[in-house]
Amino acid sequence: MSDLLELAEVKAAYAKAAADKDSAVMLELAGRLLNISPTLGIAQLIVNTLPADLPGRPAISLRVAFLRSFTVEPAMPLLRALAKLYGIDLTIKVGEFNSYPQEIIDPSSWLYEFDPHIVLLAAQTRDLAPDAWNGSVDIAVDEASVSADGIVSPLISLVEQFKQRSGASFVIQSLEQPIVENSGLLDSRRSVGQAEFIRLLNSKLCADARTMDNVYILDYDGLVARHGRQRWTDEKKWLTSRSPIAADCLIHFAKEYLRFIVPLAGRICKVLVVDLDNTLWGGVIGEDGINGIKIGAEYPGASFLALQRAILDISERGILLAVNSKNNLADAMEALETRAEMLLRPKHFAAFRINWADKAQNLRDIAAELNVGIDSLAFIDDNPVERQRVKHELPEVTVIDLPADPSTYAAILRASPVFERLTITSEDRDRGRYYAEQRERRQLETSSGSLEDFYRSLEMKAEFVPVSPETISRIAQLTQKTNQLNMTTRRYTESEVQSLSDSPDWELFGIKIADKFGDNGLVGVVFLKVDGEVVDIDTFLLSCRVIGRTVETAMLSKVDRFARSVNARKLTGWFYPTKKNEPAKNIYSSNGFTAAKQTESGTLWQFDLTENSIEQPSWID
Amino acid sequence: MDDKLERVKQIIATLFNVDEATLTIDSSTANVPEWDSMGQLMLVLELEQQFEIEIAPEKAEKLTSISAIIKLIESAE
Repeated sequence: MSDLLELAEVKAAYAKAAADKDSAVMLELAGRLLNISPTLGIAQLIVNTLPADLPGRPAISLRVAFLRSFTVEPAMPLLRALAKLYGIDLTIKVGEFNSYPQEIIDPSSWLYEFDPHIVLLAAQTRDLAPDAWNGSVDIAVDEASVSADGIVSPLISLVEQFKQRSGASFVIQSLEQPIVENSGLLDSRRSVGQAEFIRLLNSKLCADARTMDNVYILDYDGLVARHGRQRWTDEKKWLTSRSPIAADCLIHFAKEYLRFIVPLAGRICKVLVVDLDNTLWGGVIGEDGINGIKIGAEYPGASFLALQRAILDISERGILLAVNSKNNLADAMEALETRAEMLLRPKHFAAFRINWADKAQNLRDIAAELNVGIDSLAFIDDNPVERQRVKHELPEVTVIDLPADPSTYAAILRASPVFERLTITSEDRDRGRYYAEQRERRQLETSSGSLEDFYRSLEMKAEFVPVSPETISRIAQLTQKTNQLNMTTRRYTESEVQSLSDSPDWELFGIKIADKFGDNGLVGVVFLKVDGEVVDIDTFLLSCRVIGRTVETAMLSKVDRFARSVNARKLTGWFYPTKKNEPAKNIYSSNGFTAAKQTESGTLWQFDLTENSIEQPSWID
Repeated sequence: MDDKLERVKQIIATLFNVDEATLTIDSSTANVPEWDSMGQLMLVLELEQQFEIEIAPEKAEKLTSISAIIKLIESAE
């Protein structure tokens, strides 16, 4: 009864939104209506009334040819309604029963005149392979492959013929198993029985399709099995109207085809943006603390672990991950870094927006940082208010609605067609790692919130080390390899480093940085030349691993202290620009140096030690 | 009866995308062009789900007017 009441209420709200021409609200309510009541009437209502253009997203119109051996018409309103939720406007034309060979072979058939973008072929096992469906199947092992070829090859050659005349994508439904094998238990005693032969047909079909561009197999047998063969089948409707699928399963049939149509239409999301508290883990990190949040093998943490697994699986399809959370940056990062049960770690994310800013603005920033359109973002958040805010402010973002129960989150995410990919390249697979590396370099420049808090939370310790047998090869290597944060890009060999180090006019040191997450090792190098009252900075470089953590200021303060110890009054240092050392450009100016001389090759900076000093940042020990 | 008439009219109007105001108790396959044989199949599916009834195939093929549909629903109660 409550379902009926809810349905009536949502229907009324939908009607009101339609009268108000509020398409954003209509879109959301249409999704709810189909969830509550996935019937033909609701589907047709949505097809009739929901605007094809979504807010911020003009409709993609596609012609779909549905070739078939059975009655698929009752599923068509459902498929069109589902597609509309993704801003896809389908024009569907259904072929004659079992006429797909003629329709494909005849160049003057309606199929080519219709000029479809996508062709779907839904044929049942009983029509495609009658010998495998009727009677008992008992094939010798060495003949099974030839028999299977005899059924699959003609089908594949039809598809090849079609592809010579059309560039449309082609989706073929796999062959379903019977509810019970015709031979009963004996089927498993055959050399190759009915069940095994149908499996063989499907594996051949998949193998052949894999070799063809833009031809895909829809796992119909798997679909039927997921929902139960018994429940799926409506024998009476099959016998009376060749409509074999039970009414309440039609929505699942439509959704399975939608999984192909959404990526074929290009309505895919390239970035999955996730909230943290009560989405990636149970509880609130700022209140419950690192050991209080729920994540792990035990319920309720298991629900969140399952979601993290689903997110990780999705990222392996080449979809980038990003965080958008209202939190203290340090708290959240600590949880991601150190909580043992966590499956998702900072390295999995291409961008972070952990701050107290508006989440819609954060999403805009994430899109800009990753250089993708806002309509490429999908967003999950347990908080309906945040979701509402984003839907309202950025209707082009795919906001995935989550119910109250976290144990459902993983399945909802896995079922979303916006994360489907029909092919994958090695670049796709590596994309996440590449962006994560980029992000590490830029991390602190781009993250809002209190930087100082973040620096403090890192608990950095600096140690200055002289040239020694232990450090010399690393110091020489850094002068040769460091390109980005390198003021002069002077390259030195080990023996050159040694001779400078031995010279009384030179002072060389390296810096080691450790933080709470571990030891970064020797990451920076400074070479100083003492010339009377002037100390010239010959070489000043820092590994990109620790860029943006004020380590350079700690190094300059060490230079300051050294210069005073030799009674110098002035520091000087050249900046020679290269193609790669843009990050080093502002190091001197942001630490109080002034430009003294400009030449073609660079800028000479100076620092007056009698008037100013460079202090070690208080957050570095 | 009136309530049922309104519900059936609404179902037919939505399913065949016709103006509900044009439908009456006398509407049938003869005067609603969108109500074809495939439409008939979908209509029966929808009536079965909406009214939670099972419609035997022999009866389904005779449901070609609103008055016939209402008679069937009433007899099922």
